[in-house]
Amino acid sequence: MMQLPDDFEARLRKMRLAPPPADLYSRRLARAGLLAEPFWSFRRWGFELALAATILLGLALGTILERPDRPPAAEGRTVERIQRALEAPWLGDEATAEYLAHQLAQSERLAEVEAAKLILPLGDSTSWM
Amino acid sequence: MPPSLPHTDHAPGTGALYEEHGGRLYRYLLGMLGRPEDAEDVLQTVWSKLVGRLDRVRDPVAYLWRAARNEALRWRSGRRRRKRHEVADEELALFPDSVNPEASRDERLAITVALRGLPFEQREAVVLLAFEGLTAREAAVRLRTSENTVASRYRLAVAKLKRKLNRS
Repeated sequence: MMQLPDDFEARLRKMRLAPPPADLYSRRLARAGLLAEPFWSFRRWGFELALAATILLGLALGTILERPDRPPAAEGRTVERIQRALEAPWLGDEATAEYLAHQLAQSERLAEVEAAKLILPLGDSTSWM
Repeated sequence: MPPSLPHTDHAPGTGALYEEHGGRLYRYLLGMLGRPEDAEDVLQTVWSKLVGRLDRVRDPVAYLWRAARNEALRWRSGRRRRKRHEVADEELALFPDSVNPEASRDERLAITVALRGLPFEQREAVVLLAFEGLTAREAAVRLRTSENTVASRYRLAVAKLKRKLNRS
């Protein structure tokens, strides 16, 4: 049996409850606000969404910047003219025209056209070059 | 009409709010629930509710106390009855030696056990008036009741505690 002191109430008033752990706020309460947000709230996922958007933008920019250079506009027009000429009816050799068009499409280099001129009996019809 | 807490025009930051009121709220919840993990869980729930509607709450401090009390009541009603051997662990957490150097282990254990037998409202009167050192008026503000009611609950609680401890 416990012997109660005469000044029981005074003893009771001296009792102290344990203080909260020192890291209670940082460990459990600091993020409480975010967790309180509805699941689809922008405030809850805003940071993650912004991060994902930045990564996607970076990937897209990287892809664009890494693409091989297109031929200069003038060269592009020349190739187009060659292709049109090769399809002209006076050339007469459809298979060769197709081959040259394919080569042009592959390389897009005028050097190929020069080589083609050596192979094909283009004659006076090369005046368009 | 119960007295009210001083009204603040704008909500303070939650960090500052915790600095000022977090310790007392935690101890209140610990005193009412008996276990540190329960007190932490309830405080986190209450905090989340407050922060989620901080821009709509007129008086965050009053809201915190009201929500803590409601949540503690809900928590207690949903909790299973604790077994006898768990009380010893609870005693160590409720009144640790570090802040009660003058009280013996038996005394701390006996008071813990006696507290468990008090009704919720009498127990919170003891927690706030005896352990937290609030006046009846200060406790009444937090509990949104009258000063006389708090004082009456406290007197009843102390009398019950004496009887229980005399019997034990």
